Amino acid sequence: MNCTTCRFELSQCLDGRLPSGRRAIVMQHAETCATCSQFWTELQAAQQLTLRLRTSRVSPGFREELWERIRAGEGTPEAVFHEPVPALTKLRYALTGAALAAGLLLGASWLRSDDTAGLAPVADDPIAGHTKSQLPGDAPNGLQPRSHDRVQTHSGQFSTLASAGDGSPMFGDPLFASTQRLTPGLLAVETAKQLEQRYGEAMLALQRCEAAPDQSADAAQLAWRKADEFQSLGEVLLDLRNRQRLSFRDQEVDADLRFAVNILRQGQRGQRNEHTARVVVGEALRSSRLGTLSRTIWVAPAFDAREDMDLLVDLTTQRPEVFRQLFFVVPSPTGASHDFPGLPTDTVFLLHDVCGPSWVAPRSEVTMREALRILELRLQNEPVQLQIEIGSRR
Amino acid sequence: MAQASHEYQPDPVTMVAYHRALAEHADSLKAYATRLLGDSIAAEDVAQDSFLALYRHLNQVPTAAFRPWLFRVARNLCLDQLRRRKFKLSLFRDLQKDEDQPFTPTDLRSVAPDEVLESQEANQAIEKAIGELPLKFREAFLLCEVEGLSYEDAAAVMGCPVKTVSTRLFRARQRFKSLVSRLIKV
Repeated sequence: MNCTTCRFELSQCLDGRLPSGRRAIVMQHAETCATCSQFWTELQAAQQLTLRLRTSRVSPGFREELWERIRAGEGTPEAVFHEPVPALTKLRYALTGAALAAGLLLGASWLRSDDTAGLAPVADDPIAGHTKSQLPGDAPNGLQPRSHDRVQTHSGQFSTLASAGDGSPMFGDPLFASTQRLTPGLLAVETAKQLEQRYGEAMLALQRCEAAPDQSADAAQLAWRKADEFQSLGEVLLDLRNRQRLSFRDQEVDADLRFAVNILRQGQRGQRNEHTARVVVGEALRSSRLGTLSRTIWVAPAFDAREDMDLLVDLTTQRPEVFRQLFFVVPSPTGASHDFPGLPTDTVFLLHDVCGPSWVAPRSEVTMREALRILELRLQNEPVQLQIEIGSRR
Repeated sequence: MAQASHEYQPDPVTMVAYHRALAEHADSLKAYATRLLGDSIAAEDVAQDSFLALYRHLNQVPTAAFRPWLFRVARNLCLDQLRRRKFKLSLFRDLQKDEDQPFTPTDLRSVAPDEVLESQEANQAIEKAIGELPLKFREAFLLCEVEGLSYEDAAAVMGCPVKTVSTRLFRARQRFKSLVSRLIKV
């Protein structure tokens, strides 16, 4: 067990939040590791200190004043339901919005100038013994524009990965064409897309529940499963929103998402059958706005690389299952599985050294490229024979 | 402040729960607001406003949710005040001046004067350490560690996922531990 994980879980131990099995593992580590053992002792001692805090008491006339205000018919203070947004934050949003718009304009102009110059890649930059123009993904139709540039920037390490195994280059396949650096922005966008998909799948399952009574049990289970995934993804989005890394242009979407997540969270405690699927899942997902949520999010650009790093580490350690739903994990280019000892390589994304994010392929993009590829093959009247199955990349 | 649009008469069972909440949570609500605002008088207003808001929404809030609801309202009011004041977080400056408040749960008659002084200094150091925590961490620390709310209730108060609460609490504890390290006798 990693010491960082152990300390985080020791904090939960203090509140009795860990299951007994996990607690035993954590305590076993704490007993054998001197640093963690000391941390545990100090944590307990620090908690004891808070018990010494003095308790302030309301004044003797508190109740009488309150009843007078109630009797006088005084209403709820207006600030009660305000979620205050500091002026500085508003200014920061405005500035980042302007910067983003400028960036988009620059990007668009760069794309245009690049298109006029032709899509042929730089021929004098060899990748794994091939020039880029020799790679099969470089079809003149430009279905995978500039994806190689992204891969190429990674100090050439992906070149060894690209010519994996039999030496055949793999840049043409949708997985590698979709590979990009993991950032909180990418995380937010992909989470929103996957959430929309889960919404659609859950609603379809609910419809099936109604339409086909003989399959309603299976459909209900499917609806619940998709709703669970929806809830996890929704929590990630709300977490990012609370960290001010994204916002919803439509405030009603924000409210709908919070409502859905809260209802589903409460629904986890009850039974799971056709009736509860219809009542709980149906109620939680009643807003059709959730089906187009990704159109309403606005992602804040990064300000601080270290903050980004903290955020990604937090989210990946807390929710490895969500990461598997969002991204295909790209194997470590160096082959080293101990780049970041706290994170098991088979469950979460790989961190390249301690302070750099890794490379991932968003599932929605891979799926889209795969579909485009099939379409392209059909249009050319060629027999469709996919070389790579998405599922095999898990 | 708006006038109540209509007079709502809660049923007796709800009123019993309301009175009980008043008895049980008024002090802790004031303590929470005091540590967020650094001003015990404003904190008492916040506590009273919270109970007033609860009374006006008794038909909407289940009795089991009174506590997190009150803390959520108190939090919103505190953050609103902080924003209005353009507050420089010089917390706890009024706490020691608040001599009219009965602040001493311990029986001092049996304690030596130097121990009393030592205890007061320790308390000040603990309050100061809490005040030095960043606002987000302080909220989690105050709600879970000091007021003893569950992670779920704290998440409802702070409007964030439960896992965020556990992360913030962990970080708050780490910082708090290092800030009060000289008081920790292991």
